[in-house]
Amino acid sequence: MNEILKVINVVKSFGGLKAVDGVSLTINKGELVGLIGPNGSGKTTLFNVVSGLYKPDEGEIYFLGERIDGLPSHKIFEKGLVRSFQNPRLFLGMSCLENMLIAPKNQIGEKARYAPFHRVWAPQELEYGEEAFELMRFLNLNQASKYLSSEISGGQMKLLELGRGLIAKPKLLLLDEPTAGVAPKLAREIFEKIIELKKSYDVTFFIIEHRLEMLFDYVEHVFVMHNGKIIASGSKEDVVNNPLVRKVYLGGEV
Amino acid sequence: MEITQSIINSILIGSFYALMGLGITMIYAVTKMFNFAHGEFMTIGAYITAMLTSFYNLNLALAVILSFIISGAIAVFISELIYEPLIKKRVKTILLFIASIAVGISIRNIIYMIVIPRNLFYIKTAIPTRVVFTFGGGNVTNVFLYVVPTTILLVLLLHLMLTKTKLGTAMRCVAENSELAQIIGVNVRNIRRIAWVISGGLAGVAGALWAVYLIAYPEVGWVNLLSSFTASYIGGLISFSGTIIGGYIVGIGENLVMNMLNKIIGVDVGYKLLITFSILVGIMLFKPTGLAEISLPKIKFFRKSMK
Amino acid sequence: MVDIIGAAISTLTFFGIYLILSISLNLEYGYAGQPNFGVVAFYAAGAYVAGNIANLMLLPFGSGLDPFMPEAVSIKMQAAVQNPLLSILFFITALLSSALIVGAFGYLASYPALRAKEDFLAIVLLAFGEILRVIVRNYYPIAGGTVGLGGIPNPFAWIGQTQLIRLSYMIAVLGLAGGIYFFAEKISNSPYGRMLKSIRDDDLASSFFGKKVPWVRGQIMFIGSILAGIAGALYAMYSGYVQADDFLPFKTFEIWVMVLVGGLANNKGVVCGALLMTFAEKILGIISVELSLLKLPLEPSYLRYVIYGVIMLVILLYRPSGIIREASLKTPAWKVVKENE
Repeated sequence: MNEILKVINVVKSFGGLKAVDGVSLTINKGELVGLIGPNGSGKTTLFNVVSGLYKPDEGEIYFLGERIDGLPSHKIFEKGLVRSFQNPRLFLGMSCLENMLIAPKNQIGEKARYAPFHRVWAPQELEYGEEAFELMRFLNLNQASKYLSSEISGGQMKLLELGRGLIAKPKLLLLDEPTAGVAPKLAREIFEKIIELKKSYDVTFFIIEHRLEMLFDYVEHVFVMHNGKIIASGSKEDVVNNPLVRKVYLGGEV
Repeated sequence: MEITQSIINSILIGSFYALMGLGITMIYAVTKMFNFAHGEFMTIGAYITAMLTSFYNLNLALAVILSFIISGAIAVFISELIYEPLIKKRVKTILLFIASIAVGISIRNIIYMIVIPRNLFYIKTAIPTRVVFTFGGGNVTNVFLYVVPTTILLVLLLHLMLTKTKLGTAMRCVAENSELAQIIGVNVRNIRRIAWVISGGLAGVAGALWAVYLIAYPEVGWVNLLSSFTASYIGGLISFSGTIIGGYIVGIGENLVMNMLNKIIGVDVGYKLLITFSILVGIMLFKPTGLAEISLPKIKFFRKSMK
Repeated sequence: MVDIIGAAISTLTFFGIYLILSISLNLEYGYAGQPNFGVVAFYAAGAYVAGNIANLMLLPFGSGLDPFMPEAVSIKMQAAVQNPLLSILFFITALLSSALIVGAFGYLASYPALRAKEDFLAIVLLAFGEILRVIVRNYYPIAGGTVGLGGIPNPFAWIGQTQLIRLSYMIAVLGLAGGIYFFAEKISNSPYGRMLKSIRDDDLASSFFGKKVPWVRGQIMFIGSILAGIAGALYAMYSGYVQADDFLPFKTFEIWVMVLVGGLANNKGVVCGALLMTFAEKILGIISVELSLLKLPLEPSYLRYVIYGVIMLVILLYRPSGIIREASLKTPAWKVVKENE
């Protein structure tokens, strides 16, 4: 089967507000899919529901054919769905390398009964260390590996957030505004790196972005959200020429 | 009849816990910290009123007012000295809590150091307790008639302040979202200062009244802290009406319920804090937000107070 | 003439006990972000378990004696003096029992707050500590109520000579403390330690990376309580007699000062903190005694508490990271960085 994520009629309300109002979408393996829309349209909430922070009030979510709505976030991570955060949620008391090393799954050394015995988990740790360092080198972060993640620049934080998501070897990576607040040149670099990593890691990307000029260079399929609903879906040409999308988000007449 | 007496006692003690709880709630609402030095403001208030009425024959009402002022002043002084610099550094709230424990220990033991050489350990007010009338088989003392109406008066004043004045509205804004309040022009730091004065002041009054009820001694605030905190917790730490109700719930738990357990199952009265602790853990497990969201008809009157 | 050797031995014994408690708190709060304000409760539990093991092992079966009364107390003490093998067996049993029972206790006590914000765990455990003291003071059967639990022998009592007994015990305590330090270093410089820190720094993000946050929190409280229980048992066997007022909330505060002074998330730092404060306490005790002879306008025996409070505030305001700062966890992964420098 080609479908990696299937969202069926998901609704999520907070108090009286329907943040996600009957959203359905499908993402296929290997795609790079965008999620765009005005601020407050429910994009991040959708990510929150899919990644397990919230249980949907209605609807179903399938990941690789398995139902995941209502599962806790750590279980969803185990299945291969990873998300990054709009404002990087790094572990500020730890170094950049350690932040990367949190992500790999099934670390033997994380079990309390093995932890005191270095010999049991040292080889795996070394392997992950090498992978992490290579990825950091690719992201130009290797110089920062010793520094606390609180000590690096904003742009580096975004890159580290991305790297941490990737080293978890996700099947589907949800990126929430990976270039927000970053200088244009660095934003372009981030996108180029995403493309390269997509090839070498075989990951499907689902990206919330506002920088359409960059997103559209790379993306295959786009969903547009507004007021909690999907109002358009298709290739970038379809979406750009959609009059409703122009009206609520892009601005200007056709 | 014993039950009536227990109820009367519950209302009396509940008033103390309500007053103390309000102070804790106010500080949590405005700074998001638990003030574990709150008991010490009660102790200070108790000593001031006890000494002024016993040694200087000051009128009780004046002594209580002075207790309010002095406790409130000390509270805001400590905040400026210790909590504000930490808040400025944007530390985790748990560190403010730890700091308040340190403050509490320091003040408590300074009080010990002062009162022991002067033989002032226990001080009673000069007002003797006497039964004013009996009600359904229970004795209502003059102490009851001082404490409960004063509590009601202060609660009403507080409610009026919070709902009808600009200051009260500003305070509620800060409790809701202090960053937003700052942006719209509220001087959040001043609000915090005022909150400390009121919080400390209320504790001072509670202490003053306790000195009338029983006696002033260095640990008086500390031993009442758990119960007061539970009262505040029942109010979800941010609801004033919830805190007041909480105070009386704890009062009932420690008196009426304890007495019933004592009579029926023979549980020793020394265990009454166990009831308080059970209430605290119970709320934490089953209704962590406390009464903050319930809107019973009675509470609607207070609903305009902090959410 | 002050007995310097005796004082040194006793101070070092307490250093060992406090070091174990500090390591326990450091694992719970420094690494995992769980503020344990009920340390004294688990310490007390360990002591009372040891005392009850003494009752079980050292009183002849079916003697019907009240274990808290002087007759039973002296029987227990004599049994230890006359039976080296029994004493050592008692030592081991007491330690193991305290470890397991108090460990379970710690897990249960923290259960209500594992899913909540850490501040609430602090309150629950603080209240728990006070409640335990209330129960212990009022409940006769396990704890001896106001009479207290006596007759907990020093496991080396059969040696005979007092100084030698104390010295042997001190060596045992320091040895155990050293082993625990070693264990703490091993378990924290590992992916497990890294996972603890991630939960501390951002429990939400940590769960998004597959960490079972409430489970790990419960686990570290279990481990920490095991250590606190061991410390309590060691104290009981040193003191010989325990009662409710030995376990005031201030003890919890003392351990917090040690950990914060020494340095959070840093086992070496905690050794410094425990060493400094144990000696400071000894010195403050001596100063208090001297000062009280002077008839000052302020009662000096409470001065030490005020000083502790002030030290804590000074650390929080000016050096919250402690004497020795937190460092990166030493795992093999760093070799990669080193090679590429």
